[in-house]
Amino acid sequence: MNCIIVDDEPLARAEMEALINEVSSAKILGSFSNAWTALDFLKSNKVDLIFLDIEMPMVTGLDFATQLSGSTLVIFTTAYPQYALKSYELDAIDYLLKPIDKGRLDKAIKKAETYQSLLSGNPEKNTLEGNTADFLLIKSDRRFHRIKFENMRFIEGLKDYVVIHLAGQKLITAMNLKTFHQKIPQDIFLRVSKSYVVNKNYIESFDHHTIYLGTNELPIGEVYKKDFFTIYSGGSISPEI
Amino acid sequence: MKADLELKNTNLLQVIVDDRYRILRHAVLLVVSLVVITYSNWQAEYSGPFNYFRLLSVYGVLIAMCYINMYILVPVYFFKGRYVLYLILFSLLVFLSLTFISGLFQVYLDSAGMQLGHGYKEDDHGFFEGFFITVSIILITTMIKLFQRWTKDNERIAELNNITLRMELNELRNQINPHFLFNMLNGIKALIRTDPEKANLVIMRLSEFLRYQIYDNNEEKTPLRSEITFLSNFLNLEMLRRDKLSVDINIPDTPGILDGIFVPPNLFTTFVENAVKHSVDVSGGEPHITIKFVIVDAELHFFCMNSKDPLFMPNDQKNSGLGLANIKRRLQLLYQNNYFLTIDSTENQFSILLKLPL
Repeated sequence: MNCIIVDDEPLARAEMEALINEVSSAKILGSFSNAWTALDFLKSNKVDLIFLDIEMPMVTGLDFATQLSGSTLVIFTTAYPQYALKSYELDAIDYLLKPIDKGRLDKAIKKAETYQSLLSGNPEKNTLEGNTADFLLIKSDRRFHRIKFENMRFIEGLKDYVVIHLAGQKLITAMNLKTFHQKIPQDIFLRVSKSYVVNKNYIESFDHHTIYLGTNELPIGEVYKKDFFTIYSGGSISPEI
Repeated sequence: MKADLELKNTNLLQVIVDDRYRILRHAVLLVVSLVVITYSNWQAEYSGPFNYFRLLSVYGVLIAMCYINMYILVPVYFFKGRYVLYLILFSLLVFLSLTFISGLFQVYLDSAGMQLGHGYKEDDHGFFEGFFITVSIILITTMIKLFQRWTKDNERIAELNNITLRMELNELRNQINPHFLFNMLNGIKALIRTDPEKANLVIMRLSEFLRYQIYDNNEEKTPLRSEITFLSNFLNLEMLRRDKLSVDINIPDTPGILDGIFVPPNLFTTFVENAVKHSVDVSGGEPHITIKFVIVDAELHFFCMNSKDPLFMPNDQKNSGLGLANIKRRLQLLYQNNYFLTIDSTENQFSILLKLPL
């Protein structure tokens, strides 16, 4: 996996390089102190993953991320906790707070690798072929996959695709999350944020910001919070903190 | 002389307002109104037991009216802004009381079967005279209540202003930027790996910086030397965060002079922070900051200059100028108009000169 680092602070770039080398075999193609030189580099090089600082002079990391093509994944690295929600709207892989924890970085890179392998398997050829009362048909690698609704734990929107999370398996298909959500039973599947639709039967626990399903933690979006608490608790829990 | 007068005024004011003189105030009211009624023309026309009856009943009704006015009408209607209703009720009170008194006299005279030589007759003239005397006495009580209220409000407003000012001052100087701190920690983490010796130094600098911000900041004044050390620590830490940045700090070299001068803490920080923020060079040039402290006669001159790249635009346009507005407010609070601040901005350079009295 090829990655670059964009951060205006020289020490932060050095720290990031050292950490990446410690936890993964990702290849660092370059480190940049601002968004415009990084964009220049992206024009002539294939980059899978960007470690992106947010507070930078002139062009912020958030502005920069909106200009990226669909195949480039982003992990935000910042000292500012308040941009986390905004970063999920930009389909970021993860949001790491400085100083960066090695274990947390490891997890983020693994997640990026999973998505990269999903995206590299020609996902644009994966199509939803049909839906019945209790399963979906998805075509992938010239084979039809029959997926029961009850086996779908949650569905994640990732750029132009949806990733269907089954127990021990992920399937990617070209479609946006909203359209996909309309094709599955909405009394079981709840939209909880811009990037997630969750099967409510798999929810193990939740608090005011997060839903927990096994090892997965899904953020609850501000816009969807009220609906989630009303449907899930029948109004007995208020979404206020 | 003037001070004496003010002192007397304050004493009189206290007698009218202070809770300690409450009994005295009421005694004065009771005695004065009794004297006024006893010696009024209206009273002198008659003699004998009727006169005493008349005096006592007028006095009793008048005092009752005063207290009804002070403790019911004024607080319930006047202070709540219902002025018209107050005036109506007030007139009604006076009118009813006077009618009651004349009724009472009539009953007294009738029951005594008295025949005074020229006959008793409550004429219109007497009634109106009574009406105006009563109204003026009662209005005095209203005025006293009003005056008490006004002084208390004034005290409260002054106190409130005072608190606001103190809070404002505190807020203006207690601004630790948490992001600076977290970014610094992240930088130190990198240094520990590559240059532990330097990491050591940076941790010491950062500790000094924080100690000053957290503790010395709450003092009213701090030695100029500590303030300069703080600024130099801050700039040294900022240099670590930047690819290129050079800094010059010029201070007077007369030994000991900096220890004898005291300034409000963090007074220059905003200017230095501004210089750091706006000295970013996006075209690859060498950003530079110069800071100078000079003592001229009885004034401290602070000069801060930073290089500027005309192509560079800070991200937070909407907050721009906020720091400068805050520091101007603080200078105003601290020095009124005894300070002097000039700001000079050209295409490639931004500088400020601040002159403070010592």
